[in-house]
Amino acid sequence: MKSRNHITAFYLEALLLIAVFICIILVLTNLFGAGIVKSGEAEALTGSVTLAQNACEMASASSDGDELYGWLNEEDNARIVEGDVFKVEARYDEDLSPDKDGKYILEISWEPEGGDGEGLVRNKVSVRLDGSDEPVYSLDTAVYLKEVRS
Amino acid sequence: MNHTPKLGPLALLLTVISICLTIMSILSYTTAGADMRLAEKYADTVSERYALEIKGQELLESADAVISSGGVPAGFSVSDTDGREYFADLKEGDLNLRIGIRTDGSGDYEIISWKYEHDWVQDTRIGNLWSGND
Repeated sequence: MKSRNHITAFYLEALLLIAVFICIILVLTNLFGAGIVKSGEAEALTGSVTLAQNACEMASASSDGDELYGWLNEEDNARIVEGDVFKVEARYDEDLSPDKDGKYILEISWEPEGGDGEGLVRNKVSVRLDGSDEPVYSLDTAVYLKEVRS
Repeated sequence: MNHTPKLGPLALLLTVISICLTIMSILSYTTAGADMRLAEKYADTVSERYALEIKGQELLESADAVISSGGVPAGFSVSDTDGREYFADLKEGDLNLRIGIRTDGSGDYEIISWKYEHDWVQDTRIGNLWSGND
């Protein structure tokens, strides 16, 4: 009888030990999950900033919106967006390579303040993820165009 | 004599596993937090740089008409060299943009400097290290 009581006590203690262990595992799993989510957000932000910066440099090297579209359309991943303002939308995959089905969607506008192809041109860049309307990162830049005489 | 099973080894094993998992999860979370802070710092740096770029391009636009008419553009100072070089310094945060223009006197000009620099102060404190003098 005493032996049976000891064995019952053992099983109860083992059960309690495993229950405490499972509770600890559940809490730690949440922490791991939160770390993975934060890491994913950091990766998305870094990728967005890199793409926005590249787009700004392409805009600085362009003399008009069509040339900007030519720079961005590397693998048939860009299109001109219809609207009041000239806008180009380009898509990139998670490796930041041009991909028409990529998850990063970059939008850049070409807004000249003057006419005749000269003057200040403002560019608004935004990068968002596929499936989201809110941009992950936005950037503004400008380029002053002037006819270069050789 | 009755042999009752001992919980000691099992409890010890589970305790060690719990401690290891706790440490790994804390390290994983703090590393992810550090990655996020670094990404946000990169984003802020790029935003600052291009805000300065906009200021520089706007200054160039306002200077263009003045240079074409032979005047000294606002925001620029004449260089000591030959009076045909103008420099302007713009600032955004701790980032500086130095714009240099050289005119040929006929209204045309070329940009000779478009340089981004960070404010940097040399740390002259070297503790008890021998400076090389004496």
